[in-house]
Amino acid sequence: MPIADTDIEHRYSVDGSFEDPQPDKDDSLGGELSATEIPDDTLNNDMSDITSAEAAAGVTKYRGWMYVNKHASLTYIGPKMWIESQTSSADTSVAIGMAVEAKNLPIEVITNELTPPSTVVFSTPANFAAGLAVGDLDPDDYKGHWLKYIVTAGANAVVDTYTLAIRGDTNP
Amino acid sequence: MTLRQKLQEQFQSDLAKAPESITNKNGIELHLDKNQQIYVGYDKIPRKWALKLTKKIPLLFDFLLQSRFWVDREWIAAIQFPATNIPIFYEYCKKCKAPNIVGIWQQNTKISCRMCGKQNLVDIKSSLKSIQEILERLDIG
Repeated sequence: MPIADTDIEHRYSVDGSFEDPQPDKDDSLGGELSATEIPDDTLNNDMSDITSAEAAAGVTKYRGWMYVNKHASLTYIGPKMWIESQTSSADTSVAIGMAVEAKNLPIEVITNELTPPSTVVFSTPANFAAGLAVGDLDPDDYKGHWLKYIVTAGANAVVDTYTLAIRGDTNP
Repeated sequence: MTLRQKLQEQFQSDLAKAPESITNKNGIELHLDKNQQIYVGYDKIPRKWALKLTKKIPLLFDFLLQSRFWVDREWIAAIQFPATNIPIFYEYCKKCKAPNIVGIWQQNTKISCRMCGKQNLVDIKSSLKSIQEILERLDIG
């Protein structure tokens, strides 16, 4: 069986031990791979609502997440990740950056959600060709990446949505 | 022919082969807009969640639209692999912050924001080595 979408899990990070649960999406600020998947197509699966004070002043928040290959035997070959849909609000935007740590290692833990991870380069790839190289993932391999969510000052209240995508090759 | 011209030409060729519509991960159907060279689609959200949009509509239309509860929310997407293997990025308007989709060959050129029309200088940054090499060669070419 080739690798299916469901074999590539997108999980929160946790400041704890490998595959500890991550009950709070707002605490996904680097560390080890957690056991908790990021629920797909769910509002606030990335962070809690931006408060009116934050929207008025403008704020930039960071999250550390990880992709893990849960296929039993196949390598996920040459995967790249990109921003398939930018934020639906004109007052916000997202950028992504790969963690500088090698795969299967915990990533930097940031002090709080407002602290940028050091040495991470953020960009806004919009298609596969511009996508960030994740590197081959053998079974159970994982690799961290960072998300930067930018709210400009005076942002209006909206239900904001964006979509990240990953695509790689697989042997049959 | 410079690298920039080659990339432009290749993108035009890719654009001609791109599917007329795609469905994004939110289940919204986007149609290929050959003028803007991107995919565009809409879904409906309550007007109160989209006040920002009404500010961009002239007063008369705004008045007429006020009586309607729903408003169209616009979604955009770049031409995706396998239609094109040329890097494409989001760049934000420095005035209205709206996302604009630009190809790598547009680096260091000016584009008009698709929402407000402001001229913006394209300044793509990436950590991907292959893209850095293209950007360096564009600067030389």
